[in-house]
Amino acid sequence: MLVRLYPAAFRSRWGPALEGEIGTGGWKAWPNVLAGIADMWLHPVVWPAESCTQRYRRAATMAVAVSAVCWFITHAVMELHAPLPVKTAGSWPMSVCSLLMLLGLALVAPRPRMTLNAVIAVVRCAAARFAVPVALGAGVVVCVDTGAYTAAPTLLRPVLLACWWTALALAAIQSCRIVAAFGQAVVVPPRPGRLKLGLWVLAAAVTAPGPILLHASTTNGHLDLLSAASGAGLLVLVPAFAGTLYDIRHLSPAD
Amino acid sequence: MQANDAQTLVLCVLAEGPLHGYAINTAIEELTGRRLGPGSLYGALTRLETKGLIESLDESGRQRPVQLTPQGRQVLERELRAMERVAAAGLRNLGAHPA
Repeated sequence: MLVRLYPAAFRSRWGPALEGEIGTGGWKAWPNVLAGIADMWLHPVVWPAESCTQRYRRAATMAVAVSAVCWFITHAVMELHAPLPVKTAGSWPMSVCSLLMLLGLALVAPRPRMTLNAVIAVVRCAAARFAVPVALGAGVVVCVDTGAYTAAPTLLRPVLLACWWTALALAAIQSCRIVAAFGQAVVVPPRPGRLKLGLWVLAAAVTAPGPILLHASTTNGHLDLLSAASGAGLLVLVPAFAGTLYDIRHLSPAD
Repeated sequence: MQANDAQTLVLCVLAEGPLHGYAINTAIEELTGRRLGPGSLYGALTRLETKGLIESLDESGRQRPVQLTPQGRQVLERELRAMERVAAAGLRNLGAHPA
């Protein structure tokens, strides 16, 4: 069962042999296997691959996923958590972080090939994947704009709020799935130089909100635990970029 | 790399010829007295393959043997020479003679 927790590419390459080793080691081998599983999920570039292009696409997917998590945590804390000073959300460092994140995503994202079939495939996939989150989000916006939100019974308001954040979370997840979905026939993966630059930019964009939230968590004279935990949590994401940049640097030249 | 690093140990035992995962771990146990955990062993094999230091041969049954590439041999020799220099200097400083 533990083998199934490894990424599919790893399983198809080493699965049967790994199962044998785990069987030989017994339960004493489990901690090492669990550490190995975490290690592999944190380093998608080293998974068995047919080409360097496939590794670059995985790095791009990882970068989009980590950025999406950072964006979601930062906005959830700033918009839902009242004790955090409102001026933090609109401060220029946060605006710079958002711009950096957009720039980084533009650099790492694969681009559709300029053929009609490729563009249609991308648009169709994006429409299918974003249909649910867009419908959810649009429903909440309509409720707020028509005044239904304020008129709604008190019990219904948290449900609408949950729908809004679920829509944002789903949109973030689907963005990662779209980046991962297409092969070389449809999209052009980023070149190594552009990918590395994008990873550096995203690393900066993801790192900065951590200290900002940590600083904001202590500005009122007492420690705000949720903001502090979120700031610390964002800093934990940064090694994912460092690891990916390291892995890309050590790829085989003949790959 | 370090002497007890999983990747170095795998390269060392593969220097004798192609082996599959279980045989690699058995050879490492003979060399060091303990087996690598499955996560460490297959993590090391995956990384060495990514770096182009080992390559896999055709699958035989459930096992897939791997062997050193020419680049893997070069890297292993360079690392072992570096370790040899460090070990010799350390033993000299201790006043002990190399084994």
